[in-house]
Amino acid sequence: MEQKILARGFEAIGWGALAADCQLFAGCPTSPEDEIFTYLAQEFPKNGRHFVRASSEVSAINIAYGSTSAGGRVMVVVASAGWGLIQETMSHLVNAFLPVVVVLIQRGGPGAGSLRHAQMDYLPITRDAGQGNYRVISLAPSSVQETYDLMQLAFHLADKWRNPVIVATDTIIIRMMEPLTLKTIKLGPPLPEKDWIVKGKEHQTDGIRRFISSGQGFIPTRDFSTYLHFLKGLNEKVLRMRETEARYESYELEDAEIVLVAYGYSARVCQEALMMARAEGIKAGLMRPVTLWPFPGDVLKKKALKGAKFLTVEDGLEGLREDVMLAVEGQAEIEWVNVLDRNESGAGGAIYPGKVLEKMRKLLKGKVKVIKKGR
Amino acid sequence: MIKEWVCGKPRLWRDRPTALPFCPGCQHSVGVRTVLETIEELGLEGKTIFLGGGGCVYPIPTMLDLDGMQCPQGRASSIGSALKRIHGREAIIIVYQDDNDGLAVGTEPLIHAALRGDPVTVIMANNASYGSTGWQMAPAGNQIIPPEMEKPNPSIPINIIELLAEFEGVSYLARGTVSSPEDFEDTKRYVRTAIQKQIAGAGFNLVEILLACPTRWHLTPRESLKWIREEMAGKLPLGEFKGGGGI
Repeated sequence: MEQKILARGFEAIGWGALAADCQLFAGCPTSPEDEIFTYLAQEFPKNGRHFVRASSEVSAINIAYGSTSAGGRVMVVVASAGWGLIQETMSHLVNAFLPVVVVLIQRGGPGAGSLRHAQMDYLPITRDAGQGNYRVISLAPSSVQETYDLMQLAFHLADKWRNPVIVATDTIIIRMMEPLTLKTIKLGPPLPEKDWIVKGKEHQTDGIRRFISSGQGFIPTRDFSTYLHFLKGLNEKVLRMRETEARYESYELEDAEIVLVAYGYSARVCQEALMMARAEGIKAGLMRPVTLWPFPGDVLKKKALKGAKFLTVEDGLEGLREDVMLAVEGQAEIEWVNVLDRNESGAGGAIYPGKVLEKMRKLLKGKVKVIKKGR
Repeated sequence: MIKEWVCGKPRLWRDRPTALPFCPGCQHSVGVRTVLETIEELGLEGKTIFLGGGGCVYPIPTMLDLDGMQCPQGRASSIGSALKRIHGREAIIIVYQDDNDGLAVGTEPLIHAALRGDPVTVIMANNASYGSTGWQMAPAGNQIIPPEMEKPNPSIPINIIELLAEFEGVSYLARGTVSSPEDFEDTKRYVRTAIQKQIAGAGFNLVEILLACPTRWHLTPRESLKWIREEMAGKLPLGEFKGGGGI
């Protein structure tokens, strides 16, 4: 049954988790994810789910570690300030092949940074932020509806790959209010039973002990006998995820001579800038990665080979630009709009469409007549 | 003459081609034995999930015929709490940590699991040493390791039992040793009471077991046992501290 409501982004996180049958939430309030925390403290117990107010992000992610080992779908929500704290266990979750959904609400950094919106965690989201080499699928919603939908997808992908999945959003998206259609999404064929969970031997179908270790490779397990055997298995999984899970959305990309690349709230800004540019006759398009990792770089490479220019827009110093550079392999000119192009110097400033349009004109200098403002 | 076999390994130790991964004189295997014998006697092997921490105890869950987990260093009590929440009374959660795991990096998860009153059983195997990393001292172990050892931290040991005793959610606390057959039986009784408290859903419980680490202490195994009885137990007194006297 479909129900239409008006909701904010942080509510969509909760509704999406409930639609995906999430059993347990663990978290520790840190601005700006505190609103989600308050909301879920009411909604999860009301719906018969566990809500654990953890003493820190470190405990929260380890409570998630335990819940998923017991077979329950579980999520952790952290703000950028708690992002570093969870990375040790993120790495352990990858080693132990355990599915957990981690929602990251990006705020300004580094250090205490600011309590307001930003997109500064792109690199640790898309690279291995904890110890060792690994990758984690990262989904980046740019609307309230998409937040709800991607939460469901995140739980599905986590179980499918037995790997953590990140939903990387930002403070503007979670505080925005938009129409939301509540509908459980069907995501492919049903996943196999979790026969690897620990629950006591007598509850296992074959009566044989199960053993979950985040020391795979260090000690032999049922799946991997040696260190290289384990690394090979992990690497194969990463390669298969990279091949099959890249997602993106494109806007007017076919005839675009200049391609905007942005995710999250910046992508919304770019949609406005795109309309303004088209009205001026600039052939602009937008590629919005839905998965930050795997990065959908192929589409950019094709555009680069056709002579398109690129403009990355992100509310951080540098991150997304690096992936665009890797994708186009030096075949195209890249310009960027970043946090330094905000409209004001305080933490409340933001990137505005006018600034994006200005950079587009600069990039196309010579082809488009630029109207210079007088001082 | 009737010969009676009075010794052997617990049934729940799995047969392994290699020897136990402990140093000569180490008492971890005896500490685990109190738990395994209790689980066997109470008939709980089908329900038990055995969680091991980091350090010297890391290999233990691999060697048992129980559902088990190897956890990130210090985090086992958070993980045990969560397992209990999902499975409820259907599962018996044993968290076996040593002091470098539970009383150093793991103090926050441990204290907050106790504050929440999660009904799990923590066995705190305290030998005041970091064995697996090459026998360094514990961060708060100065007064409970022999005086001739180097001691850079002017610290007193964490009396975890006394620390947790005030918490409302804690149902049972006891401290024992396995230095003699009598001490072993006392400690096993503590472990049994703790597990029974968990079955009754009575809240968090912890049994600390003082164990010898002769390699770190630079003592013979026999001198180590003497050290535990005469010195260590002076700082960390033995007995039941909360919830004793049956279920």
